[in-house]
Amino acid sequence: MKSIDVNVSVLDRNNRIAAEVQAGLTERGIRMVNLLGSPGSGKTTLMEALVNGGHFAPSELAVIEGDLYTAQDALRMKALGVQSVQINTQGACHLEADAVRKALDALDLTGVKTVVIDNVGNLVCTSEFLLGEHLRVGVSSVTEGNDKPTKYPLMFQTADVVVLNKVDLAPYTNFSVEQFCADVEGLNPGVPVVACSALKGQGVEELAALLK
Amino acid sequence: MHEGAVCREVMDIALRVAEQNELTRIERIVVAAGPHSCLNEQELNFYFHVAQEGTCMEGAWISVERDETLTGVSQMYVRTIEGE
Repeated sequence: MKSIDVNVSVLDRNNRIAAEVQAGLTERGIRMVNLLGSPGSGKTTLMEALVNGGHFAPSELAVIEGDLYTAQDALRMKALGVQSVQINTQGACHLEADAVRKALDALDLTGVKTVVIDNVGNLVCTSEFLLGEHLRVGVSSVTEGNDKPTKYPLMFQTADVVVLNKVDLAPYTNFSVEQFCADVEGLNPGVPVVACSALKGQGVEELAALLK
Repeated sequence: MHEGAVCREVMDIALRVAEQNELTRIERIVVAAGPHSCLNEQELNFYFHVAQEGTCMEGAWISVERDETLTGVSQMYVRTIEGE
């Protein structure tokens, strides 16, 4: 019996497509952000806050929405005048680079400076798949509890920016912002952590500055 | 957790390697998984068992070995393909 050494990443095909996607966008002067986080962490609401707060002009932004089912989130973006394409995975727990490439082809990127991938709500799988992004943002929220960074480290470790959303609710919970920041720092030293309330507009300006 | 996607990619890589090395049958595939990759060997082979039917991989098994040295975003590697 023969044993052949391979040593190829299982996600090699995906990562090659991601690299091509990223290079193509860089060439066009477009920055792509991959927004990760649990279902209900507030990713889409943060996008609404960024647009409503005047930090992104609708015509300069395009959003790729990833959800198992429904076009609800794409509709929320469109209601703000932002171009949006919805990917429905119909059960798949994550997005892959080839789906993002197809979604980009469906967008008119003339005048667009930033594309945001509002990824499938998932703290586990989405972190493993590069999608061609220039920046990765990991969103956690106060109502998810303090233990998310240590229990689900990969998203926090691979994020360029970590958002702690729903901080306005912290007084009503036993959440410790200090402990959260310390845990994130331990996993990803130096990563900026932005405390936000997407609904109240808190921290949104600070987040916008980090995305540009 | 996304064992279906992993199975698909591992099989594509294995078929390519088999072709390049003139293997007519694959008996075992070894995949290394890092500490933060969520890969369950049993679940992966559940998918593999179904998908391998009618291919040169029929009867094969994917062994998942933990490799604590793997870091970064994608922590899964196809290490070796064994066959004839």
